[in-house]
Amino acid sequence: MFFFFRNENEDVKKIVEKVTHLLDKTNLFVADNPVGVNSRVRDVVQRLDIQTSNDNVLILGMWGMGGIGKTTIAKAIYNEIGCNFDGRSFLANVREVWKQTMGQVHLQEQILFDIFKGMTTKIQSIDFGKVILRDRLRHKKSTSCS
Amino acid sequence: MCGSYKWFGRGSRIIITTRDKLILRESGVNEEYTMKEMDETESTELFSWHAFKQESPTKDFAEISGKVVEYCGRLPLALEVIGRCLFGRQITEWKCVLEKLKSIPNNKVQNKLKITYDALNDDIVKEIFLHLACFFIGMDRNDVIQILNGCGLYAEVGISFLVDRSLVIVDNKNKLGMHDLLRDMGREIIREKSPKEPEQRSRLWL
Repeated sequence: MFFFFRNENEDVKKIVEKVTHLLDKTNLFVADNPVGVNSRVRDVVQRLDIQTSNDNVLILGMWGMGGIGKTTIAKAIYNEIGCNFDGRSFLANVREVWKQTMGQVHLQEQILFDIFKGMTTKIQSIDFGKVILRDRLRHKKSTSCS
Repeated sequence: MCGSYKWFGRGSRIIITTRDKLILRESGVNEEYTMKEMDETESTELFSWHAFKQESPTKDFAEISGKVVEYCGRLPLALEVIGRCLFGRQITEWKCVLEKLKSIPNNKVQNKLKITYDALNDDIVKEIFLHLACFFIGMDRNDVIQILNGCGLYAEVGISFLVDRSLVIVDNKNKLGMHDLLRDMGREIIREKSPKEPEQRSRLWL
């Protein structure tokens, strides 16, 4: 009996996880009339090397002047490739939030909230946050844009 | 914030966007992507969606559209707000905007964007825009409407007007947003009235 329950328990847990993941279809709004978005998204996605079994963590930097559409393209990429990952997070205006009181902690909390789908974690300090992020993130294949 | 990229699970991908190349070097990125500028066709199409609500300019405006697009420096943000600003206007008004655009060098984007503020034609809407740029970005739209109505501004109409002009964004959580460059343009309008004496300015922000 014990084993039966344990298995059922795990099955239920797996199903809940799967359904929650499937329900995470909240795409970001990109633009009413996207022009030139698809070709740029393709260029970047190609460099992200997702299809091959590249297991390393890869950081890609998008650079360009203000108003050229970096954030727009980043949002479209987030929508496009997010489903290939265990979790995804989009942090907006990092430069500004960073400077606010508790801004860095808020950013840490948001990453956790997004990647662990709605599980709220209260972080007291930036260093404490780092420890939590280190422990939790390493088990998740995730994508984050900022 | 995250100590090290090694903390992310295997196969994770991180994308950083920035205006500052130095930041990319400091964060140890593996790949760099320089944003491709819009070509002529793309710029004209984007501009047309905003200025005409269709993918190419109407016949009478084709020539002047080409010039406006060029003087917007093919920058998507400028194409959008200037396009919206010209929507439904007479050719004489177009000419006036084009003349202003011509007189501003392409690297002074903020000044080009300011044309759209000047063209608002309504002091209350201008006031609302400046209030938003200084104090209310990231706040709930309904709360802001209540605050501004308390100051005798017709905020409901004013904010919708600004959203129509692409100067303000309301996201799916009903939060107000604004592009950095537009916000800075708004704040500069206040700063330049009294550059040396902040206490003389109409608004002070943190």
